[in-house]
Amino acid sequence: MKMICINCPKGCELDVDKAADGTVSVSGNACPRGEEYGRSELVNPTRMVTGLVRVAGMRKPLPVKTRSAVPKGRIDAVLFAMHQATVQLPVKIGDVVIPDVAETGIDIVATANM
Amino acid sequence: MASEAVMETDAIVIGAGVVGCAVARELTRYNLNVAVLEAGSDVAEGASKANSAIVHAGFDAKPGSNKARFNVLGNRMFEDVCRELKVPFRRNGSLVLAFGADDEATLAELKSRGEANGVPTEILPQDELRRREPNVSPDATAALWAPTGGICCPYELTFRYAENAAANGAEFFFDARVVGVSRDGGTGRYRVSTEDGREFLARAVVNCAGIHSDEINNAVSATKYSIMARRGEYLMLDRDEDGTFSATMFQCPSKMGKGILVSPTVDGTVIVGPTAEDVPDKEDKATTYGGLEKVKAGARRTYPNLPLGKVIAEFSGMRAHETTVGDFILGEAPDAPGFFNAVGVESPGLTSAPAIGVWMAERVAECLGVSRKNPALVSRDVSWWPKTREMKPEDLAALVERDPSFGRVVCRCEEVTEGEIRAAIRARVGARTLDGIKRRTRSGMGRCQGGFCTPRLIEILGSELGQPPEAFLLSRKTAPKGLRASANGERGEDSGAVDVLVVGAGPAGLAAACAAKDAGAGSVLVLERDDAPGGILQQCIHNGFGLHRFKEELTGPEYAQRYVDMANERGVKTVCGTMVLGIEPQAGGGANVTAMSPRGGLKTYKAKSVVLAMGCRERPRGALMTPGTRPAGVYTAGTVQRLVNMDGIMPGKRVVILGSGDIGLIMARRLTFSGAKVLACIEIMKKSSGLMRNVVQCLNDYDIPLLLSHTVTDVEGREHVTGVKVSKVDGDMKPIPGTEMHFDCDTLVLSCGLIPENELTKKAGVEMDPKTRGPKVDPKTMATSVPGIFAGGNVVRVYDLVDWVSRDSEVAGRSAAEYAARRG
Repeated sequence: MKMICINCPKGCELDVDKAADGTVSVSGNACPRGEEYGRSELVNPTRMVTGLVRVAGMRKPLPVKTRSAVPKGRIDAVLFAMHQATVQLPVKIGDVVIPDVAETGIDIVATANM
Repeated sequence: MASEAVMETDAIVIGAGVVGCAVARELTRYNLNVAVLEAGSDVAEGASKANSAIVHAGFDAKPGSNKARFNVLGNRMFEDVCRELKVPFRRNGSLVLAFGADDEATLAELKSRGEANGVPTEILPQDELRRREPNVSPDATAALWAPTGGICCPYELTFRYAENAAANGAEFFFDARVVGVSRDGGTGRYRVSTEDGREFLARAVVNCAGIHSDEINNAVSATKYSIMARRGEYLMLDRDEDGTFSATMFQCPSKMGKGILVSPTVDGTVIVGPTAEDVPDKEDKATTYGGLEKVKAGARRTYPNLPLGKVIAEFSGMRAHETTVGDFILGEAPDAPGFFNAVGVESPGLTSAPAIGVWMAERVAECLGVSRKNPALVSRDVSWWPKTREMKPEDLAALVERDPSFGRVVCRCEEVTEGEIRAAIRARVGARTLDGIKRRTRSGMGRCQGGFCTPRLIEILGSELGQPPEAFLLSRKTAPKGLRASANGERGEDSGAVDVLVVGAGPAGLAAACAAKDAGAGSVLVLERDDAPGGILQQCIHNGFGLHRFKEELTGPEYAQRYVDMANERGVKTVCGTMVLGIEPQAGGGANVTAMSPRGGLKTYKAKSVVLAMGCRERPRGALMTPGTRPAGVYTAGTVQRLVNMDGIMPGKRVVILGSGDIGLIMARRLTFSGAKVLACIEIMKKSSGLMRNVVQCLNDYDIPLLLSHTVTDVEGREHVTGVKVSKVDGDMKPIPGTEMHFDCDTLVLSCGLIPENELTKKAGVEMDPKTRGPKVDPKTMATSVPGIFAGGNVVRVYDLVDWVSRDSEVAGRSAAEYAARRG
């Protein structure tokens, strides 16, 4: 299976194959992160999700991100949770805004000081 | 349905274009009550906002016609009127070019017509023409010189006429389209009703309704007229082109108009156009692919080196061409006493307006039996807002001291301050819309065409008019008033001496400042025009920054904060809300840097070395020459990013993206996340201009189609975007007929490239690289051609990755520190 690695701007074209015995082979990658990406994209594709959360009493929203990548199939649930949340200021970079978002085991954290 | 009481007045003027406002203003010279009814939401909404901005000399109108008479009279009045109303006007003269013997015969004919009209002209041979206008085509064999030709800003003249009329008691009603005019046989008065349900009674009516003036007349008089809307398309060139031609360059006239002209404007831009095309729909003000091609081809006859890269806007306007008489129809209708016409006022309408105003007011006053002029006329009450960019530094300093908002630059391309914008809204006939602000102050009219200032403008409109800011993105209707101000910048007590001065506190500027400190610079000062440091990264809330620089993946605000913290730790001084207006290199190195801020007013810093880090801006719609209407709902990707991520405003629900630059791709995903439907991303090239990883994670992940070798060939919608047409393009990037497809959408997002922002660089005399559109730099030191001035980041060339911006800017910062140290 051909895919493009999204880890860095280079965008390596990967060839990812799954053998009969279940082992996954990745080629075309320029770095170890590419191999990891190819494997995960085949088995359990994940994405970092960045977004906005409402701030109480302000028009300007707070930018946030998932602390690490979440399964692709859970992105909608993560976005829904962000949309539902409201934070109180002050907030610092790295503060947990939503713990264990959408039962992924991953926290939503602030990415700006406000 | 007279829900309100009928308003009784002496005279009603229908239409608030330049003729209507001139008539209204002259009527206020008499003791008359005047009401001006305008269908649009502002003055100058019709032909007065979109024409060639020429004050014609008057040699080409048919001798004996109203056009000839009022042109010549009006032309002579321009100095006085413009001085009185404080409107810029320049008698730059005009030239009609001949390309060969046939044209030269036409010149002779024009010359004798000029003599009949009393207009002095002179025929110039080719060598004299080329001596005066070195950029003119060598194919031009001779020219007719008319020294009395001039240039003026048509909507500015209209605003000032309106403002002065209002100062003298005229009342303006907007969104008041006249739907009925009838004469009461008993009283002889006219009853005028408007679409919004208002009723007016007046003894006299003056019909100045432009392209609709036939309809108004035909409702009252048995003498019928017919107006054909004749559309003209134009291109506007950047101020860099100022001085290309000193006179207005006409071509020999044909029966469809005066040919394609190329002319300087009083604003320093260059106007090119118009086409002349009769259109069945009077409101169809779209630009077209074919029309713009005609403008380009026509202009190249005069100006072979027409630089398309300098196009900042294109637009079209409607001339009201009367088809039965073919002249201005002026005066009382034969069968309707008290009903006066200004019908078919097409070119030279702007030139004639002052004369029509005076003449028409006399006729109306005569008819109403008023002869005494109002002794209390406030003829000079027009200082309704100052233009800070034209003020003397000491006057500006005093103004900023009184009102700090005059020190806050909102529109960086045209250097328009918040104070001017608020004053334009608070004026008697004040701005109620983005367009109204734009035309009154020029904010949003420069190179970036509102890309940076739109979010600020809607915020100011919102606060002044008591509306939510997003209302001004959606609607052009009027609204009812508030206030707000915050100070910024630093006061100018100290001497302003500094070792390294950095212009811009984005990732480039902050990296340069930190590196300068690390290399031993004593004092490092960063000046930033925004209210906070961090630059454009503040709005780039997605991740993918810093893999190289910090070995981890950060979002934009996180990356920016690292540099803000680093700068603070090192004792770098960052002053925000401060716009650098000029950099003057000093003999022996270093530069004086002049900056303006709300708190400090104008302040000059003496820097031993300077790092330029102003970043880049987006290519606006004007530069893309996309045909179609010019409705609300067309934004650059960065503007949308700012609106959504910083201001919490969603600009639309159904979106088409033109161009596949990275910001456009990122915004496709962001808008999807925020609940919009992104219908397609359209790219004219064979491959995406953005990174493949963004195509994968922003488009493919969400099934957004990427249409390569396609472009937008029409934008639809009058008030707001209602759809776009997309066509496939051939190998030369020309649209292929028959491949059109249609998208119903309410928003068009443009992501068609970034341009280094180098106005300051050029003003400082730094040598530019035409390829990168940034300064020429020595890659080892990032030194520019001017000793002591260095540059880093997107101001030099547009980078893919912020990590490399920081790296190269650190080189600039180090070099600047070393240079400052050598100077001691």
